[in-house]
Amino acid sequence: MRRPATDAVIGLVLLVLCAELYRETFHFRVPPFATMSVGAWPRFVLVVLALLCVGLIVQAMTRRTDALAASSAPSARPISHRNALICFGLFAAFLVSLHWLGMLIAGVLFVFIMQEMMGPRSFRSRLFHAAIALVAVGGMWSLFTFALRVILPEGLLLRL
Amino acid sequence: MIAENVIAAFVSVFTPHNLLLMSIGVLAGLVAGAIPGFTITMAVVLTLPFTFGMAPVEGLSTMIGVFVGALTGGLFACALIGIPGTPSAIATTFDAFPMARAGRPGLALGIGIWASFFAGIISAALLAVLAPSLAAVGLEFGPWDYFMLIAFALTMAASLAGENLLKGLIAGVLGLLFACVGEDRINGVARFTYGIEALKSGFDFLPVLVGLFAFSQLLSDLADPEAARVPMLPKGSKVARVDHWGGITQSLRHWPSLIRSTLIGLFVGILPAVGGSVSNILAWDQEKKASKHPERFGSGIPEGVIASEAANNSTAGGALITLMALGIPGDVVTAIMLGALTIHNVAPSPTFISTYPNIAYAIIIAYFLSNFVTLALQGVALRMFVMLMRIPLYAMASVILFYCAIGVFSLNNSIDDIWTLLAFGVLGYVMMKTGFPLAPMILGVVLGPIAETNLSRSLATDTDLSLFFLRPWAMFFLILGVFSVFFPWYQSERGKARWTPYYMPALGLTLSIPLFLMQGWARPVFGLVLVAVSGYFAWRSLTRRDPGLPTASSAE
Repeated sequence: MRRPATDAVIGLVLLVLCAELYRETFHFRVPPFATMSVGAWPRFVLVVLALLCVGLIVQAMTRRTDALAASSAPSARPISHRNALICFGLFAAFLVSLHWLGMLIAGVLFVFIMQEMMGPRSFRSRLFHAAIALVAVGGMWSLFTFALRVILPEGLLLRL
Repeated sequence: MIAENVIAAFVSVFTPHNLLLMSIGVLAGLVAGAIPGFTITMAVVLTLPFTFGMAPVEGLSTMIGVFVGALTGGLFACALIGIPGTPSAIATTFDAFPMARAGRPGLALGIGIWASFFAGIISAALLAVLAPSLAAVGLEFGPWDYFMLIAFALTMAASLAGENLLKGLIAGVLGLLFACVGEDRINGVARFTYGIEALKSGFDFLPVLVGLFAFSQLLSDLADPEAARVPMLPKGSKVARVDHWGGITQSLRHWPSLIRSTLIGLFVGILPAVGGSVSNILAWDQEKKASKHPERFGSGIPEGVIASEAANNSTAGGALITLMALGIPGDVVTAIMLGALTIHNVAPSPTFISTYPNIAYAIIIAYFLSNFVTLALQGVALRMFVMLMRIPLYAMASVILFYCAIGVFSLNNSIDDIWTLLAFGVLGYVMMKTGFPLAPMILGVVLGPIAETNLSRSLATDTDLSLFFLRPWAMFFLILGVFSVFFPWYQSERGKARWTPYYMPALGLTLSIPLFLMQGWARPVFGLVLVAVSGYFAWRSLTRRDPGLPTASSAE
C-alpha cells in the first residue's frame, strides 16, 4: 500500500506546486517586443506536469487494491534512511560552518565525523578515519588551491 | 578540407599535456567504472570541475577518456566479484563471473578488454563517417523539427523507466521546469525567483547534476549500514593476470558476435537518451537468440562477454554521433558533455561540426585514442581497483561527498552552488526511493533551454502551430515520440497480446509518411522500402497463428 499512497501524495504535492507556479507566471515582467510571452513556455510545462500528476494520482488510486493485497504478504526489510539523514544533516552543518571554519577545517571535520558516525568505533578505526580525513581533504584542498588556483572559502576563525 | 581539419585536430589532441590528461581520465574512469555503485555518469560528473580551467579540447579529451575507461572498467567488478561495476556492464556479469569462478578470471578479463577495444575502434571509425553525414541531415531542421526532436528525446528517456513511464515523464517535465528558474535566455526576465537573488542566474548545471547523480547515488549505496562498513574485497585478494592472447583469439574467433553487438550498441547509442545500460542487455539477449546453443549463455561462454562488452563500448560512439551531429545528447553522459561544451561557450547544434571543426574532429580522435590508452592502462587500473575495494564504502563516500562540494564550489566560487547541490541531492534521493528515474530529469534540465529557444524561434518565424505536426521532420519525430510512449507496453505485452506483432510494422508504415513528404528521391524510396518491409511483417503476423497467443475467439 505504501508505494501507491506515496505516489498519490507526491502527485498531490506536485499539483499544488503547479498551481502556485502557474499563478506566479502572471507576475513575470512583460518585456516589450517579445515574440513569445515570457510565461508561455513555463505555463505549457506546468500544464503538462499537472496533467501527468493527475495521471499519477489516478494510477495510484486504481492500483491501490492490488497493493493492499500485496501488503498482506510478508514484507521485505524496510529501507533505512538513517545514514542518508546523517549525511544530509552533516553536509548542511558543514555548509553552515564554512563561514567560520573555512573549506579546509570544515572539510576535515565533515569527513572525520561522517566516518565516525557510519563506521566502526574503535581506537584503531578512529586513527584510520583521522588519517583519511587529513590526507584526502588536505590533498584535495591543496590540489584546488595551488594547482587549479581556485580561491576556496577561508574561515573567519583561523583564516584557513 | 576534412583532411585539414583532421590534421589540425590531431595536432591539438596529440600534445603531451593533453595525452597526460587523457591518460589520467582513462585511469580514473577504469577505476571508477570498476567500483560497484559508482556509475559512469558519476565519474564523468566528478571530472567536470577539473575541466573548467582547461581548453575545450583538453576538457573534452579528459571526459571522453573517463567515459571510455569507465565503460571498460565496469568489467573488472563483473568478472572478479560478480557485481556489475556500472549499469552498462550488467550483462557482462552473466558470463564473465561464471567464467571467472570456473578458474578462468584472466580469460574473462582478456575477452572483455579486447572485445571492448575492437568495438571501440569500429565505433570510432563509424563515428568519423556517420557524424558528418547525419549533421548534413541535421542542417535541414527548422526550429519546429528541433523542438519535436527534443520532445522525442524526452519521451524516449521516460519510456526507459519501463513500468514507471508516467514517473519518467514527470521527471523529464520537472527537469524542464527547473530549467525555467532564473532569467530567461531570450528576454532576460526573472522567472520563479521569488525575489531570491541567488536564484536569478538559475540553477547551474553542475550542482544539479552532481546532486542528482553523485550525491543521491552515494546516499542510496550507504543505506545499508552493515554493507557500508564491509570492504567489497577481503584483505589478501590477489590481482588476476589478464589473458591477452586468449582475449584476442576468442574475440576474433567470435567475430560475428563482435560485429553484431558493436552495431547494436552503436544503434542504441544513436537513439537520443538511450545509453549503455540498455545496449549491453539488448546485445546479450540478441546474441543468445542468434546462437546455436542458447542454453549455454549464462554459464560462462565467450560470446556472452563479447556481446555485452562490445555493445556498451560502441554505444559511446553512437551517443557522440548524436551529440555532434544534432546537438542532442545520445545518453546521460553525453548530456553532461553537452553541458561542459556550453560552459566553454560552445553551443552544440547541427552546425557544430562545420562551426567548430577543430573541437568536433578532436572529439573523434580523442575517442579513438582513448581506446588504445584504456588497453594500455588496464593493468595499472586493475591493481588500483583491488586496492580501492579494500576500503569500506562509508570512508570512500565521505571523501567523495567532500569532493562534490569543493568541485561544485569551483564552478562559480559560490557557496550557494553547494546549497543547490545539497537540495538536488535530497531531491534525487527522494526520487530514487519513490521510483522516479533521474535520467529524464537531467535531459529535461539540459534540453529545456534549447526547447524554449526553438519554440520562440519557430513562433517568431510563423505563428502557424500546425507546422509542429505537418513539417516532414517534425512529423517524423512526433511519430517516433508517440511510439516511444507506447514502447513500455509493447515490451511488457510482447508475445502475450495479439497487437504486439503489429507494433513495429505500424511504426514503419507511419514513419514512411513523412519520408514520402521529404524532398529528393532517396528518402521517398527509403519510405517505399519501409512500407514494403513493414507490410511484409504485418502480413506474416496476420497469416501466422502463434498457438501461444490469444485469438479473438478464445478471448471471447
